[in-house]
Amino acid sequence: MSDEMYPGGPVMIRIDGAKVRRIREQKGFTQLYIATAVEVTTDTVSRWENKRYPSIKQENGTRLAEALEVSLEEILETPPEIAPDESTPARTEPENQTIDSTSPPATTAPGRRASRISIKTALLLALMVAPLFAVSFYFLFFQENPPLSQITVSRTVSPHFIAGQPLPVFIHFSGSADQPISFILRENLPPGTRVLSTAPEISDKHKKNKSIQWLGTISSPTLFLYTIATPETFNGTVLLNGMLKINASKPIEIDISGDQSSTAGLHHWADKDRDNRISDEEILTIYDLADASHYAAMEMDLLEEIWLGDGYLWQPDKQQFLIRE
Amino acid sequence: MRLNSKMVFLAVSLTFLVLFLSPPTASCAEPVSARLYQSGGTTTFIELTLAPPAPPTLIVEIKLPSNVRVIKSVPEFSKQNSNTLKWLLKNVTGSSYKIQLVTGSKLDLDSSPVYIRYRDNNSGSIREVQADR
Repeated sequence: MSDEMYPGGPVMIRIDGAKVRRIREQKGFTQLYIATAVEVTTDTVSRWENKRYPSIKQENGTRLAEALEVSLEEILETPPEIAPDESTPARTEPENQTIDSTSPPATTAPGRRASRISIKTALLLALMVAPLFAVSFYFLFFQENPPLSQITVSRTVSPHFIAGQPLPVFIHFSGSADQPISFILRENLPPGTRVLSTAPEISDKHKKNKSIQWLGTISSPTLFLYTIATPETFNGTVLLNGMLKINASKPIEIDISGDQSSTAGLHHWADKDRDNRISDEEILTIYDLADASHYAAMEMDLLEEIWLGDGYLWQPDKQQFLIRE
Repeated sequence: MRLNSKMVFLAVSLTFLVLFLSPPTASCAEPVSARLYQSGGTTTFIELTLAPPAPPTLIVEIKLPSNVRVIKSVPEFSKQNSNTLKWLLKNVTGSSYKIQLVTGSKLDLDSSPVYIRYRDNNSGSIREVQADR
């Protein structure tokens, strides 16, 4: 049986930990990544894989399957149709392991020897070990994830845009970590807007009506970019907000700081001073915001065309720019 | 008098020592410099020298005397506005970059100022340097 229902409790399902581990390793995901995606701890993922928690909440199972990019059925435990032979290990092995692990360990230190150690020696040893414990305690509880404390996520968006035209939103992840950190970056979309592009590209299942999210691992400064467009008739301000969630030894949520709004108008988003020209400074700034992989999403060809001209005028009736030569 | 001479000597020595030991400041090293020179009659070169952290995007601008006609440039200029030519150089890598400009008549370098604009990596501000001749 794969489904279980405990009276009054959530629907539980039985997963095959070995399958979970195999799929995870085949796809190159770390336990940290899976833990971040499912929103549990790495210990829990480890226990699932080691069959110490063969029954898990269906909700977690669904998230786990989604993180592994497989269907739920693929990670469910399949009941044995034939009796296990000698070549296959017994399915009760995890339970035995659990029992074994909880059985008391064999004692090795004879009481007589202990009694020989003088109190002075014991005190001396304690004094020597105490600083080590103190240092370990400090690093464990106060210096946890020192690189993470330097991580910031900020958003850059033009204060103005033209309704119906692409508006790029830049999210800068800065900071560094000793090893790749699993993360979820989520941006809530203003009502009525549609997502035109994302970079790095994300799959459709991570684009929802009200939000988009990136999942992955990160270890160095990275730029996330997405472009949105409002309806052509939009006349107002779009508000942006989002968060970065990191699952290290404990989950950390960081609100995305920086620009939070942009107002519809008649000026190109890159025309910072709204003088109906794209100046050298403005185009250099935009080119430095992103690398070549983002140029298409930012419509850099159009931007360059406007820069080459002597000015531009937005024609709302034709929904196009008139560029003065 | 003798004491004063000793003090002066000491002060000068200390000043030199401090100057010698002080680390070079960032302002000494401009990541972009440029030189304008000619090879042959009507061919002019703008040579950029880039030092880390060099900006990946630069704008090079030359103001030509009004009587000069442009025959060609390699790479091709991005923008011409009366007698001003502009190149938008993207994804520039390496330690040097050369622009060749062929004109209808010999260019008077003293009346053809060249400016290079780029965004400073640290401050984010736009910097402008003029090419040497």
